[in-house]
Amino acid sequence: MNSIGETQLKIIKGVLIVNSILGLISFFLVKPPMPFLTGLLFGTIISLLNFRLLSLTMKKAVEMQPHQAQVYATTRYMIRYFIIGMVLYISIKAEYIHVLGTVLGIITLKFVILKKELFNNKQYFKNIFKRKEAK
Amino acid sequence: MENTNFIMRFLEWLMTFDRRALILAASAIGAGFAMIAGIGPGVGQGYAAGKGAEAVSYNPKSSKQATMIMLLGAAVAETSGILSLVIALIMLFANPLVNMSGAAIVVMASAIGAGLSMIAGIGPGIGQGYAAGKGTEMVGKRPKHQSAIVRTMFLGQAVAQTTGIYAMIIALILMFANPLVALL
Repeated sequence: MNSIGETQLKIIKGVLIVNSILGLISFFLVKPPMPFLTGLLFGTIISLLNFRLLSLTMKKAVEMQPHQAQVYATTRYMIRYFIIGMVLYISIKAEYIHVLGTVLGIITLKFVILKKELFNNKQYFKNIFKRKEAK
Repeated sequence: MENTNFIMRFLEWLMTFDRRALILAASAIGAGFAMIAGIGPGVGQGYAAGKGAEAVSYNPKSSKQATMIMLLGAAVAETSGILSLVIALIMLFANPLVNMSGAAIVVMASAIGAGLSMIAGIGPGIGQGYAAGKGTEMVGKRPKHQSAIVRTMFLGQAVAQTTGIYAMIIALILMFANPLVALL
């Protein structure tokens, strides 16, 4: 597998592609499209920045003592949680942002990670369902 | 005879309030309950980070691999916390229950129930963090098996997430398409 930077880049590219496709689809399906697209853009930017913040936290945490790392990672999680809370609050309050778009923008990152790291090898799943007698 | 049943007296006292005030109060309790799920990812990510630090101290050469797996695992572990936050904020700032018709006590209980259901988010949060921690630990010990470990870890995390999503579906049904109100 690749280095941390390459993996991050891969995930970020994936998020941008998936959210562009979502934006394109919602442009035709959601009426009016602008609040939803603004929300999607807002959510995407925040989720990518949060991912970057998480990577910086983890890089630092691995160099600490295990108990120190636990406390550090948990407090940093609370900060990120607060940031996401603020973003969602603004999306709900502001009329020009659709909160569903923001939520979608934030959540797609998790699905992209699962897609890139879990569903990237068909053979693995074929082996799960392969009958043992066939060997 | 004076009614000495405490529950009945409590319910009668509740009914002295305005319907809207009751639902709003219940929504506040529900939002608070929903936020309890935020504990899960916190504990899980802390555990993962602890295991990452352990793995790197055992085998400093695997530092980059361990960090990367921890990063991806921790990012997935956050999901249920975000979902609970969404439900809590909807209850506080875009509450659909206030304008719902039907008996006040049913709507009120639905608000509390929606919040309570989100507590289930603790499970996926801790479980996914635990998976991330163990994945990181094992990559530290056996870096050669990295791709198999990572795939198994994510498979476990994806399965663990399902209960959190079920909880959110129940919370959303209680808030936006409440079937209980129609049963009265």
